[in-house]
Amino acid sequence: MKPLLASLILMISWTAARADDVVLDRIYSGGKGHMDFLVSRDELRKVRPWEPKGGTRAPLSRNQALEVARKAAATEGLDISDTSELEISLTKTNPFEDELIKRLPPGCCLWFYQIEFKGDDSSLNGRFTFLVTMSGALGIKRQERP
Amino acid sequence: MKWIIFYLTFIGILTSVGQESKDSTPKNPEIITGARTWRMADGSTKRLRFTGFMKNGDFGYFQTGNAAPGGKPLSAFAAEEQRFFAEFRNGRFKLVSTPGLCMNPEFPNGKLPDWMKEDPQFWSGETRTWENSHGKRVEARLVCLTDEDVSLMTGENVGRVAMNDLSAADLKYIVSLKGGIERTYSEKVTLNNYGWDGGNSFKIAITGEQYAALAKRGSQFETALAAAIRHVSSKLNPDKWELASFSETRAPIPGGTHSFDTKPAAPELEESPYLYVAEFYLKKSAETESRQIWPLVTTPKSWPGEPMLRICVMADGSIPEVEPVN
Repeated sequence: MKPLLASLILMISWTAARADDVVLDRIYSGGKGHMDFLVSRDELRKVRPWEPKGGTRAPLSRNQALEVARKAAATEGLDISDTSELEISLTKTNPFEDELIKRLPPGCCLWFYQIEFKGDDSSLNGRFTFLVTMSGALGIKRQERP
Repeated sequence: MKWIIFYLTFIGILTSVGQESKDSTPKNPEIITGARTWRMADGSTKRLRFTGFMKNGDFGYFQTGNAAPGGKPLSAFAAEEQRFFAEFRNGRFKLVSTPGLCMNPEFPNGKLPDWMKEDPQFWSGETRTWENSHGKRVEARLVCLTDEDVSLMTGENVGRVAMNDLSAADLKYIVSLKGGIERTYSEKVTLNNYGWDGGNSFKIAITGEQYAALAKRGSQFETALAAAIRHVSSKLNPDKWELASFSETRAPIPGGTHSFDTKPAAPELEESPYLYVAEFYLKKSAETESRQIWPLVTTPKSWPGEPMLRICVMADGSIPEVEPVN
């Protein structure tokens, strides 16, 4: 039942992607295609450019981003406990992905959080990743098969 | 009046009997390692460590020596052990949950052979002053605990001391250790191993005390990020690098070479420090300079891609020492 629900949510997410959306991140899975994370240009324009090098705090904290990801995981029917192992990364679009970079709107914050839940629970299917923008929006997942 | 007193006394007895049967599960189970000499049905004895019942209730998991726990039929054990299994099921006993505590039933004795000296198991217990029941004191490291004895290491020698030869203070310490009040941490805990393709391999290791202190700090993402930026800015001109990513994970739980020797009953209860890794893109012109400052954590000359720098940070903002791995 859970895999069916997850597929349904993924399909809904896919249909939710609009022409104005851009791919903020792409995760490759060795010959099995890739997962794109889409965000609307408007969402990206909500936050001004921010660079960690400047020494100022990020517009969205690690805890706020984690809360967004946990809510998204709960919506997808994933059983994520408070003690679940997770990896949180602050990153931005891979600068070597030219095709993605040139579609991104200028003058906005391209940093985002990538949150990956890990666990023994089979419903997690090994790894589950969520992307949260600095405006607190959730990236829409789109699985691309080769 | 007498009848009323008799009636009340009778009701009181009934109530107390009722309570006793309700509370048959002990509130404070005795914490045991499960490692001891077991009596077998054929009259022999075996040093084993009981680690739990199998799904099929007729079998249990038992560790023999250095081997991982395997299944044994409970019927192979003597009648007195059958009583133990019944009491264990009733909650009279609970297995130790203290992480990093070695409970190998056949921990080796005597002088450590050279090939064993690198085994982290020999460096994972706490060094303290032990006193036997005759008042003789010795400074030694606890390297293994069973329900019958402790294995203590002095210099490069390991000796087994029976529980009834230990002082009251030592026994009190062992009770705290088994209850998780006292903990064991390695002298050095490796948090991260990393190697550049075709280049240097390195590891991040901190002391057991640092590990324990950092585990209590929890996540300090923003503090660690600021520390990483400050560290790199202080040594390399900010025009020469860009932050690529900053990641937070939990450090692994320390243990011996044979993780099943130290696997606690509830590993999920273990707290471990947060480890942060900052990866930086370097300008080509800064590659050599970065390699001079951070020889191990900068991509090697043979690196085919863009030059990068990898800095580890702890939750208190400290930058741990990097050690080469041969």
